[in-house]
Amino acid sequence: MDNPVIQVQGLDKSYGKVQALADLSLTVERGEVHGFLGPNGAGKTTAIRILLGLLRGDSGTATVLGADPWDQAVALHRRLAYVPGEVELWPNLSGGQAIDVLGKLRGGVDRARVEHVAKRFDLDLTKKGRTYSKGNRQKVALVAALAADVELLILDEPTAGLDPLMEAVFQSMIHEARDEGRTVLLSSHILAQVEVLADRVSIIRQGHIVETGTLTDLQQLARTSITAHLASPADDVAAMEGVHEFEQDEVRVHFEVETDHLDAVLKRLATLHVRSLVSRPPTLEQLLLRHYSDADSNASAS
Amino acid sequence: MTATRRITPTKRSGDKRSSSVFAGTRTLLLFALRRDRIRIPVWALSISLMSMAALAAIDDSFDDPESVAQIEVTMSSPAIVAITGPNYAPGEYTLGVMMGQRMLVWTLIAVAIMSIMLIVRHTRTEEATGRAELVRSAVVGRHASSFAAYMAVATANLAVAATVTLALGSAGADTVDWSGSLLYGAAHFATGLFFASVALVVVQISEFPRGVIGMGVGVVGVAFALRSAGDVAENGLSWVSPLGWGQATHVFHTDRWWPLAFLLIGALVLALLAAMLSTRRGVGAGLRAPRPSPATASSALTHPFGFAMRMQRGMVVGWSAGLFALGLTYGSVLPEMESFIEQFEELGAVFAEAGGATIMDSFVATIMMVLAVFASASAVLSAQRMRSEEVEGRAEPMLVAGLPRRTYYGAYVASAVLTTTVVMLAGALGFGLAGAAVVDGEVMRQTMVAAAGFIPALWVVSAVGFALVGIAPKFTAWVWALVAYSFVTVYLGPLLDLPEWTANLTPLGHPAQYPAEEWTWWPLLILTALAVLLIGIGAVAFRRRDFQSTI
Repeated sequence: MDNPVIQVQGLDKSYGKVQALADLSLTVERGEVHGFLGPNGAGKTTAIRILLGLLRGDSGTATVLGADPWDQAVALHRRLAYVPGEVELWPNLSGGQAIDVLGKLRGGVDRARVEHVAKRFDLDLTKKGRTYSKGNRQKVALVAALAADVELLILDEPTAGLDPLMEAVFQSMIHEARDEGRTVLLSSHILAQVEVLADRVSIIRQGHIVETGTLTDLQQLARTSITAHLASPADDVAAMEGVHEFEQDEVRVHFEVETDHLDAVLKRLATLHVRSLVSRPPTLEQLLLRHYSDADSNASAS
Repeated sequence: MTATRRITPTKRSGDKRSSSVFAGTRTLLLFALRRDRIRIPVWALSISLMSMAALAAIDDSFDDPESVAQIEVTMSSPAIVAITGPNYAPGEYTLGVMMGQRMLVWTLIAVAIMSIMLIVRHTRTEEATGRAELVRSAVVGRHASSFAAYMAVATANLAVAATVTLALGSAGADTVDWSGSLLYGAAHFATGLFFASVALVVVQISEFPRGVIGMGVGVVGVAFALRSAGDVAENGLSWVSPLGWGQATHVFHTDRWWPLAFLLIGALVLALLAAMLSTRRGVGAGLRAPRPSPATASSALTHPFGFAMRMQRGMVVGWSAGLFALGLTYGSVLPEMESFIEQFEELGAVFAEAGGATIMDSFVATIMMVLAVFASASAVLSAQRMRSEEVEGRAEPMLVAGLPRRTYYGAYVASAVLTTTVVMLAGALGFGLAGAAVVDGEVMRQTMVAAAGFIPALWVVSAVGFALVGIAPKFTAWVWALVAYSFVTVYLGPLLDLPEWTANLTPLGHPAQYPAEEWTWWPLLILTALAVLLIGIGAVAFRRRDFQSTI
């Protein structure tokens, strides 16, 4: 019953000489919102297209809802819905017609639900495909997917063209989907979105998953940033284990500290007559930046 | 803060007011020519090689006066006149005249289509893809993109004219002199420019590159039909056809330059019209405002086959109407054909014995073949459509919504089978109806039977496209080579004196040329089986390969 909804093991895929995926492994559990985070060109879309049975991996295994996505694509597609990052619509068909066509292919359309979701996204269903803006094309795909009665939602950077108001609607819709017991794979490079929505996160870089875990797990890997006004000099804090980016400006200090060493550093600060203290929780951004800058330094070294 | 740099407006925008709407033209022109650095030479070489090959092929026939006389009689037959053009040098028929009557119109059509495709490529396609927006946001005048595209196409036409002139002039044939060759080349330039202007006008109307090309080619079709009907009936209708103006130069006979003025003046007027229209619309928009559509899909649209047909609705209607009109044109000249036969009854008997068929039957069979070649161009469009839906990212959501690949493939195959049948029958119906009206009902039966023979051959053309989509999707467009090959061998084969086996390499060469030949069933069966086999191979390969998308 509680087999993972998506299970990928050692997946490789290359296009000619370009290696898109290298030994990619990914597990998405039932009922979770799984953030799939990585920079442009990291292999997110290639991985998703393999999960959808549109591409065939070179080696390794992929299982979606217990089935092989390549061999059993059609049966699988009835149980999932997908929103691509770039939505192309038929220029001559209205958004409503496109949603109907996609819904009927899946086995049926709940018109009431389509209209309900469209209303929440403030989408005009009668406009022709070519007259929609990028954001509205994306809404068409989102309405089609969110109105479908499916177990799994695969969303590939689904809100790239949406304004903040619609982003909020999207977030509440994803929360509802999770409450209904659906599983969501949410690929994104917008960290704030993943932080708000995801239960677990996998970070992909150059076709390989470099980190995976709950938000808390990953925050462990990141650093808390601290700004404090102290009555006494705090030179020795700079030398403490786990402290980075230490800056001192008379009585004001600013530094970042690894989560594991937070306790010790705070105890030391407490002895230095703290007048004020601001602490910012670790963000995935920092974590991600660390991975990117690793890549950058590797690149510049070579 | 005295060091602050103040942004002062430059005077550039004010002092060159007349050229500001053309600002950036030079850069854009060079860019367009760079993008077309392969395309333009390929067009120019293909067209001049075709002309050269035709000249070389017919040269041999002009050795003795007797055969020249016989050629002239053949070339004066309404069938030939309807298909290519009038004999404008009665009694003084020469090799050069035959080039002008028999070959010129084809290469004029080729430059017309080249000009339309290049204009659309550099204007509407750029707008539809959004690239134009990027360009227009730079220092680029309102008319710069269009003007640069026009100049690029003019350059292409100049290249065609120059290579054609060189190819013919240097051949050293008696009646094909340099001054005539220059006029022959110039006719290409003027015709190309005229249709570039036509394209520039239709580009303003519709937002879709495909639709614009359809409209432009439609204008070429109308021009062809007008000169076809006008040349046979000799009623002056050819003088309203832009293709007729090129032929009116009577090249290699009286070498008249003045009909080209019609083309150049027409080109100028249309270009100005296009410039005026372009200021009434926004970048990316058409003159026709898009209307809302229903918010729900009809039940036909939600069926994969209905959906595939809907995607091709405009194409099917356009091609059917076009072939129907062409059929009507040819059917309406049948009375002239009859009077021609009466006029040359003795010679007619010679022809009849040679082919075992009457001239009338040969004419009907020839026209049916002509219609089939035109229909073969529509036969490749379904596979191409399926491929572009895939590449442009619209097929993907359908497959991910549970549409099996084989159903998706099958829906487009079924649409191709239906489309080719409808288009071919529309041509046969037009021809048969006109023939029945002006001659007798027997023509109708003949055209229908002949059409039935060609339909499986058209299926094979479609099937080659579908096989390519499966096996070598990147080369789907190569199916056009088969259409071009069919055209050259079947249509020009007799003129170019090509050996018979060359016609056997195209599916269109296989059906019985009814009613000139005995009706046989077996080519139908073999062609249908071949189509099924090719489609099957394509289906298996399509299921096994990665789905592709450029977005």
